[in-house]
Amino acid sequence: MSFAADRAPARSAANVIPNRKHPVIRYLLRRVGISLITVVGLALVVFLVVRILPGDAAAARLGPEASPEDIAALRAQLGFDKPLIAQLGDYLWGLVNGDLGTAVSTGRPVATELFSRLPATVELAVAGLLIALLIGFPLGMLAASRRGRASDAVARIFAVVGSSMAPVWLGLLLIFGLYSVANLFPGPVGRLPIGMLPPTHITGLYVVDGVLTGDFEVAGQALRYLALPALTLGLGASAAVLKMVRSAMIATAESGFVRTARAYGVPGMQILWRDQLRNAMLQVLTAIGLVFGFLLGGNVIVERLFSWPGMGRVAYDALGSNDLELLQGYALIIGVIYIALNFAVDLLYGVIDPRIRLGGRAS
Amino acid sequence: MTIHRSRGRVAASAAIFLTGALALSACATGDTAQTADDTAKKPLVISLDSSVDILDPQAWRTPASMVTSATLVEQLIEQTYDVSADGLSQLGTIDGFESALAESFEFSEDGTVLTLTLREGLTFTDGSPLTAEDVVWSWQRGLEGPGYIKVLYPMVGLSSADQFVALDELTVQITTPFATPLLPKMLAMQPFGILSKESADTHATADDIWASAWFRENDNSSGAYTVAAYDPTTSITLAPNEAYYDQDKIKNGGITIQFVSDPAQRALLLKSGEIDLAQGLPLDVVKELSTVEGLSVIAESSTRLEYLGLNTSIAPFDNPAVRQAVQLALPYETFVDEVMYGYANPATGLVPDGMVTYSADAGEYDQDLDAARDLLSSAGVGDFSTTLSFKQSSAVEARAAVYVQAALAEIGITVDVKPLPDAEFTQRTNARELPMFLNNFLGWGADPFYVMKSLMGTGSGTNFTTFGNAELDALLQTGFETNDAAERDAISAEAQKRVHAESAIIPVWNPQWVFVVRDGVSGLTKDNTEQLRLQYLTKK
Repeated sequence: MSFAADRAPARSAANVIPNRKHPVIRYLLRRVGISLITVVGLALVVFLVVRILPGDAAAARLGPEASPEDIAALRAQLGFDKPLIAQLGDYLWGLVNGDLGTAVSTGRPVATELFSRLPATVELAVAGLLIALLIGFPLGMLAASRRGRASDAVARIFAVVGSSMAPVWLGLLLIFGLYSVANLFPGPVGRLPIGMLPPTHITGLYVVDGVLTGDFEVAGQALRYLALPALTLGLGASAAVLKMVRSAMIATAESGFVRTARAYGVPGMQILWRDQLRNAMLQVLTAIGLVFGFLLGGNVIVERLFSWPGMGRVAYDALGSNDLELLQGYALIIGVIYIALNFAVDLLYGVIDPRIRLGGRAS
Repeated sequence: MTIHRSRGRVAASAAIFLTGALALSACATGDTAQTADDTAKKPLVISLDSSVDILDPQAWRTPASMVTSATLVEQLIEQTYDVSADGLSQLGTIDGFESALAESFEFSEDGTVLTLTLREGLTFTDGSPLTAEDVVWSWQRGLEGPGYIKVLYPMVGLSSADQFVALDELTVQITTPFATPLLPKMLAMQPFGILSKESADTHATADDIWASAWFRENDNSSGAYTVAAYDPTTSITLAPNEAYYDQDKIKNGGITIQFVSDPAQRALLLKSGEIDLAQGLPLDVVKELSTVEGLSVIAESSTRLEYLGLNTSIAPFDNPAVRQAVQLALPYETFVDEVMYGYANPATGLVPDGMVTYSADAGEYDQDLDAARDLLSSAGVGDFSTTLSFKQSSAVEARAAVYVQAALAEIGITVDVKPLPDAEFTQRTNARELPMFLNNFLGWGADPFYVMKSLMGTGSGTNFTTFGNAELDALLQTGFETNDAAERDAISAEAQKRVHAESAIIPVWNPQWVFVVRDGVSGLTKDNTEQLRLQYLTKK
């Protein structure tokens, strides 16, 4: 017996589609449209913000001994001498054609530079998210179900400490304690031991590719080298997951349908897992989407600390070398990933909540 | 029974003998193996101060790329090295050169024509012959191609590819308008290494006639190594090049350069033994590692220069007396002891002690606050405020800025310390709009006239102070254009005096060339451009 979504009050009017034909398709089309508009807006903002940053990319590329004539020639070659609106036009046209420009610092296509490193970033972010969920979810459930007790207090202290600790500081502590002193984890040299060749490329995720190709030694080593940076990211993110799960679970625990279920004598665990959790998932899912987005785009320092060859490290280096094209590409790709994640979360709302899937008929 | 026992004893004795003999034999084999192992060239894993982004020896961007690409090309001539006192390192001699790809090289009597004859049978890694045509094409690419090393050529009077001629398959001739000792120095440097024209012809396109895209990520080496594995995100592994003309000059079994972004993590990896050599560590960490068992710090004098620039177009630094007052106020010894943790030499001038033509009479760099106050007072300049800028990424400059601020406060100058993002610093120094800034400089080939012209020459690309003086320019150009050692000494001494008096560029210290290595690593070789020559590294 479930008193879940169909008895809960409508969560958000914005998410409820009027009862018309093909509500799912209309819902999807609407989300796609909103996402596309957001991508265009993002491209404009990224373009303008990067142009505001100080520094002359052409001068930076040619070095201090370059003549003004050489700098001017390169500026012309890169199109930096054109009016801003013309540069914007070139930029948008390039995007339409899949061209993110050329990295000033290396001369390689920006898309190549970034997409070749995307798997490393994704692998780290996914591992970090899994750790965050493994720690944050049960602790949040525990804290909510034992609200006001000692275990709740401990979980809340963990949440405060976890969210107030900077990833760089946590990473340094973990490297010092678990690598340098205890020697439990390998050193911060990237994704594999020095000299070990990566597995055959299938997904670019070394652990997955190692397993898929049957190269379990590489998969095992990739997992060992992934552990410490993922723990650095995951521990911090677990605090956010914990807080969101706890507050969502407490909110649903106080709702009318849970009280009614209790009055009907439904077992407590059944209410917790089938009714409370399912309703709380809408908020939790939003939080997970945000956390995953943060892990993808916000691990610049962690990647640098662990020599992790991901996109964040490229962005860090690009900032130092004034590589505007690369920075622009990085910001755009991370932004698009955020938008895609939001889109995915919106779709999952539909899966979790029938009111959204059925266009509000249930309510 | 007795016989049986006796046979048993004989058998036991024989067994013991055989066992002993086998054991001895094993020991002997072990010794031999040990000896062979000791003499074998071992591979090393090192981590430098940056990653390797480009393999093109004429277009590298990071210091580690420069070091790496130098191993993928060989020059026609090579500088000679002296072994240091501790035996761990070798330092480039001031003006000694020996044959490399060229079997011989000879200047004309007036020093304006250099004829180089290649060794016979030279090849690139792919087995294709290395000829005079490759040499001329490589230099033409340096002068006319996409790289930025073209700025080097005018320093020795090279402005046209017509000045390099292949007389036959093995002979190359260079003609310059004047004789200069900088020419052999430059020819011994990595940007003048030889690339394969055949590879370029194969991979060039209409939009890329110099095959930049191919050379950016590939090699057909004429140098000591060839690339065995390269991931721009993680590491590069260099294997000895079997086609290299002198295998005895490769002292190790290969080099892996691991890209470790964070210097503190580099130090941890060195301590744990995962890497054999580390560069670019914070100096306080270097100091700490100097006491760690199993590690050694290699610190050698360097001609690299850290300086305080004063913009002569911005008042009151347009007044030489004010600039001299600033020069007199700086705490030079404190910089060395407190900022550089002792890993620097005190400032002795733009031409530092140890560089050819250094003059001890040019003027000293010592703190004298009373003299500084008197100068300001006599110049009629009262207390004033200014801004001191430097690159945000430089920890030593951030520390030095505080000492500069405190010292100048003593003579009535209020300094606002302003770290700038690196890109902004580069842009604003290029725009010549910073009144006072900390910066550093390394001159190609450790040539005194190159250094002075670059930093003080009118309109020079790296003269960020806007200082200009026609007499000094003429003096420096005369120095460039003479081969006479005594004349160069005299001209340089006069120029150094003027540089000291003008005080637009104030040398504050010369950072040392610092590496930390694990015990057993030696052969750290510094060329005249302060680069680490990887082929001479050895590991026990």
